[in-house]
Amino acid sequence: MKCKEFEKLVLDYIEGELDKKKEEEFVNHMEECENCKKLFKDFKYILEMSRKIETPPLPEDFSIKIPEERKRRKIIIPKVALAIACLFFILLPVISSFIHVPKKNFKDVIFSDSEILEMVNCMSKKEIDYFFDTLLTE
Amino acid sequence: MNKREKFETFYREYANKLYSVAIRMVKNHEDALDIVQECFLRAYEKWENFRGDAKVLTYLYRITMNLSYDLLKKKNRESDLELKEGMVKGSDIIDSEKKIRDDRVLEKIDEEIDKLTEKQKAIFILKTYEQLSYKEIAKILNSKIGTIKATYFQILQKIRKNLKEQGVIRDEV
Repeated sequence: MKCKEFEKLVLDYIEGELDKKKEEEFVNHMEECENCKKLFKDFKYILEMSRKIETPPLPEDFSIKIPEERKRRKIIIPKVALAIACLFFILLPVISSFIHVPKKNFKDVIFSDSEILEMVNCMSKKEIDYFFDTLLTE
Repeated sequence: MNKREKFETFYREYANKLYSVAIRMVKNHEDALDIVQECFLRAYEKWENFRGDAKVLTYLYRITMNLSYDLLKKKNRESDLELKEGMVKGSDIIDSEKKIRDDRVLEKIDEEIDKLTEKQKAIFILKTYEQLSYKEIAKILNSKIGTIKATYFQILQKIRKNLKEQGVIRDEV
């Protein structure tokens, strides 16, 4: 076995994952090569010492508060929004029939020339047409 | 057993494990608790998607790591020194002289672990403390088995080199 292969296998050896044949080759190399033996010893030592680094336990009074609301809120809000939106579009024709936009009625009003000019200046083409149609018909 | 009961059983089994991983990553008690809380909440919401415990655990580890990465980035790797000191005390060393020496080594190793990048730290923690397989770690970190294995070797080489330079481990066999 070469040192490169030893390096490749050293972690598997530490974890006891080498098959019998490989393990034998590995151990033989380690007995012959001081550098590889040191590498193995150091890795083993670092890992053993690392595992001694303790962490405090999770506090006993700590518990997960499962907020059903959190789940519901996430799902229900979009559903409600969707339902409202659908309802709005379904009822749109009905709603629009209730919303009465009064049209200007010029029947009983007499305007001066300057007033007419002022009004015409503020109107869209459609409104101008409607305005003059009304005047003409009346 | 209903969903909630099943989840609570699962929580009792794994909360401590996740807290241990989180605290090793972020080195702060409160942050680690927040991470555990968030992890389990996310798992609860996706509970129906999991068929077995192993899948949930992989998911929980992944969330723990992701939340830890985010937090570490946010905090620019500031560590809680007070807790760090509390973490390096081994308990099973009886001989006092050996204990002092070992404590120094533990402290140095802990410092070296702290110097690792977030991903290296995650690999080191999952392999060394959680003793997961390379395959499991690759799944959690969304990486390749070969990459995880090679990185773990590099981490140990790096720690070894730095400990040698500091005289914590000696050159002779």
